Amino acid sequence: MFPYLYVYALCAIFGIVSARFEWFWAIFIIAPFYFLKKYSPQQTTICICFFLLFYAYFQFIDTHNHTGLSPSTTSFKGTIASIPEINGNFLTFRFQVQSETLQVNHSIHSESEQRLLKKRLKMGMICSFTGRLKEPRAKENFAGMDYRLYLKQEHIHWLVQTTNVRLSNCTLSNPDRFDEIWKIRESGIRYIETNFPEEMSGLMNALIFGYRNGISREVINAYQQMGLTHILAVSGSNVAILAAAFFFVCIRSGLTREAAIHLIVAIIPVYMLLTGGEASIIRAGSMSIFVLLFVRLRWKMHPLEAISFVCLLMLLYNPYFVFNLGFQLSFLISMGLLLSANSIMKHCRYFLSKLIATTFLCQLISFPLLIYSFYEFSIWSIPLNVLYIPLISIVILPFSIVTFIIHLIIPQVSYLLVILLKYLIRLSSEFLLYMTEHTGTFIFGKPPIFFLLLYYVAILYYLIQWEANGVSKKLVRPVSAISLVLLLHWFYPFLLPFANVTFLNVGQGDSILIELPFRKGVYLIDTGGTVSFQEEKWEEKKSEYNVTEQVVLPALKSRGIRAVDKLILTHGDLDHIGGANIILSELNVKEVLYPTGKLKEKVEKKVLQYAVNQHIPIQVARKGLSWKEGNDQFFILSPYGNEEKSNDRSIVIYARIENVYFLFTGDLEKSGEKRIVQDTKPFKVNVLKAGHHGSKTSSSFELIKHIGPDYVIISAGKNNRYGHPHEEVLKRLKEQGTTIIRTDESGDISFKLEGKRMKIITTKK
Amino acid sequence: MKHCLYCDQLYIDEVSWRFFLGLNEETTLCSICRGSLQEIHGEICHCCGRPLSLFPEKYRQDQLCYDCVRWEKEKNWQGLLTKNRSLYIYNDHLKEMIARIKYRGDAKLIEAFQLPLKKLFKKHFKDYTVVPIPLSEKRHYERGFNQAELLARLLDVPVMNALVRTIHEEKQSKKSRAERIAIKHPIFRMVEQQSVHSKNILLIDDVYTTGSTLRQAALALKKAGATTICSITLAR
Repeated sequence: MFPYLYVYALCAIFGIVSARFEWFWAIFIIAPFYFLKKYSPQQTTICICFFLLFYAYFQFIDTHNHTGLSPSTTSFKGTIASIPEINGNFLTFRFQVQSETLQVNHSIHSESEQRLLKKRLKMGMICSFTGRLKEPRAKENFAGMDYRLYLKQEHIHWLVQTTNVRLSNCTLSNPDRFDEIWKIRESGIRYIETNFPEEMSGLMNALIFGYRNGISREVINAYQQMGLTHILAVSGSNVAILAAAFFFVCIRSGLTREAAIHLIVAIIPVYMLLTGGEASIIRAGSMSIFVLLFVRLRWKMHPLEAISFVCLLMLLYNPYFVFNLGFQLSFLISMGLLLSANSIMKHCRYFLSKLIATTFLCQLISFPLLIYSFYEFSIWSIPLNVLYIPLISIVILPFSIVTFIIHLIIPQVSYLLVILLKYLIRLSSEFLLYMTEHTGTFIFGKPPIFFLLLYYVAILYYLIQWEANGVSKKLVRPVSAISLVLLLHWFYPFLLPFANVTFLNVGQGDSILIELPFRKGVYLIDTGGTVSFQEEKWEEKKSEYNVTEQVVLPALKSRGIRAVDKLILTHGDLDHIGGANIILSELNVKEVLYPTGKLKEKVEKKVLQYAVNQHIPIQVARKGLSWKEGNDQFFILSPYGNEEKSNDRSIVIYARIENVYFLFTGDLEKSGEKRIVQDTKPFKVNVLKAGHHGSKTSSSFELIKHIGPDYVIISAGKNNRYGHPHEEVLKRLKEQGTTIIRTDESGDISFKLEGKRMKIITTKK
Repeated sequence: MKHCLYCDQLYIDEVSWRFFLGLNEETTLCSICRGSLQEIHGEICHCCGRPLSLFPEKYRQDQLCYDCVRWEKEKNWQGLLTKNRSLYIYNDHLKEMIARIKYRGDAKLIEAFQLPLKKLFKKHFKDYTVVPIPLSEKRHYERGFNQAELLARLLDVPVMNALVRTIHEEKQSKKSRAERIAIKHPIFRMVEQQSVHSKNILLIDDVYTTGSTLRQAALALKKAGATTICSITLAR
């Protein structure tokens, strides 16, 4: 029928990618036609048509994807369009008003309100409330995600900060068919949440309903780090196993094969909705429908046709899918398996060898994509996949469904099953947590885009040799090719001849990363830290946001930083060293620098104690300490050792990096600045990190005059409660003719230095 | 999805990474029909190209089969045919296929052999001048085509029809070896306008059984001054 449908699907994908990024990508789609004489002029024409069609289609959809609401809208009436999520004192849901969908955030005021909302607020309710529209935040860190873009791809343009949400203003809507399934899903999820112990309900909901919010962050991270996330997504294996079981039951109960197939084809769409309708399940479900229909009609079908057709349909439905990691992985892996199935059958004789070969293959073809999104890779991924894929999909999934159904019918009987399942699930997550705790990962860093191309060329070379010859001597070259790319990727940062000084946007706090050319030194000045407030039990969220975990660690990992030569903790404030333990435990820190003086704060004692436990040398820093790495020099100007207040003890570093002079001042205040001015001759500084986040108690006129900075960086949180940076300071700096760059406005700020050249890159603008 | 040239069933090309990248060879036979053909590989007789693995040790001399040794002992035939290479073993399936081509006129089926034939040609006989074994005029008229010529055409190189069959005799397939070996009269003669002088000639035929037809043809070519004479046949 369509022998080259997969080529057209590829053309469509490239069309969309080209529309989003650059026409440059078109080269990759047009080039093959010149090398392969296989395609006739007609086919080439159709390919180019698909490319152009989807290019135009994406442009059309993207330009028409904008808000129709006025920013000043304050009252809203519509339908709750997602399962309301209550996390501590925070309620979120999606809200469908006439023209578009909004993301609603609501702060819960009391425990009774929380209880009531939890019980009563349901998806599909019609509500009205008042609130303010807020633009979602755009990308704020180089390694961070672009929330605004993410929401835009879901056709959401506004966050709503509610001023009040009253249940009395919410009514149940009239049932309609489509919504009914969503409601069943919601009640199913709630049923599991309330009737099963918390440690098992999360995984049960993920497997049965494709609802992962109930799993703790820790366990999710463990799954991710071990390359097992795909197991938590409802996909092809679930559909296959359930359909097979259902088929068997139908046949046993006297239905004909044909009737059973009809029934399954009718049920799959319901299952797709019941499991949340993610990209992976839509792909798997639609493909199964196609295959079953063709089998039923006794039509022959090319194996690649179903997957290509489903891909094209999904892209027509939502072209943004191309940028969805779940979509990418789902199609990549199922395509890979389709293409390799014959060869696996040919080369592997036993069940276990087939399983290992399949797992290895999936890992291999998804590796570049995964490393691009997660920066690290665990070598245990393959054995754990071999263990967990059958464990979860053959044991725990059917077990969960049976337990759930029996519990629904006769709860008393399910008692034993629940206990058994609980232990099974606990064992599976505990073991995974143990593995993440006790094994390391290879932090490769985010590869530049052309590495993806190199990876896939090497991998395809490997696959072609493997399928022709199995495991043989002929694999030596492709394996060396893959190893070469891996090595190149691993050592890539060591080949870069420039230095980077990056002021990470950690909100109200400091964290500055210094990378010297050729990776001769990696220094991290402060780690940021999240200030936690006293909260009541009901207010606590399942997992609190931690800026070091969410911003600093990804920033380091994305750059392929496995070791920090010096972790410089300027002083004992939480917003500077609050996340130090995370850095100390996750990365190989060679040395900690800490200012001289008496330890007072609880945090500083905790951090230093942890460093001691980890056998990390701690160097006490005071005025006069200096070091040199190639041409790059570092001098400590403060503390002297007799400071009283914590801020005054800040380590102040004067650094010359690639001919650019930096002054990092920590939280140094006026008195400290004055002492530096008194004790030194005027010295040149190109880039000054303003002391104490731009507080008026720092960045005194004397200091500014003394050093005459070209750029001043202010590391402060957006709308912070201290009012940093202070007007007065901004005015003072402007009068001196300096350029001010603020992390709250610009996001991460990076100085790329090579020889005499300097380039400033910021996340925003 | 295509129809198999031989059994006419719908079939699907094996899906693989090679297929995905467009590196696979175009197939015309379904996997079952293709599987029934036994390709010749491994150790072969250096002269006639028959697989030696199936051949008892005592009928071999070094890398030559006993048949070839015997040919080379005959004064008249010595050194005429330098080497023959064949694609497949002449098994029942191939016999059926060739019969269908020759006796039931399914000339299209011959395309199934194009790719392997081209490959063999490129590997061993790249710069040779291609000469098909001709049919007698009568037989050609009966059949409507010459299968050897069709085979030669598959190679996509200029084909030189340098030979004519002088006498219409019994089908080779109905004669014994002794009858075939004896030269009573030369069977082939040169076409006058064509010159094979100091050229390397590649003969094309469908089946190599005893090798006498090919050697007869080689004799005529040698007399006309050809340097080296080799051959390709479909079956051995």
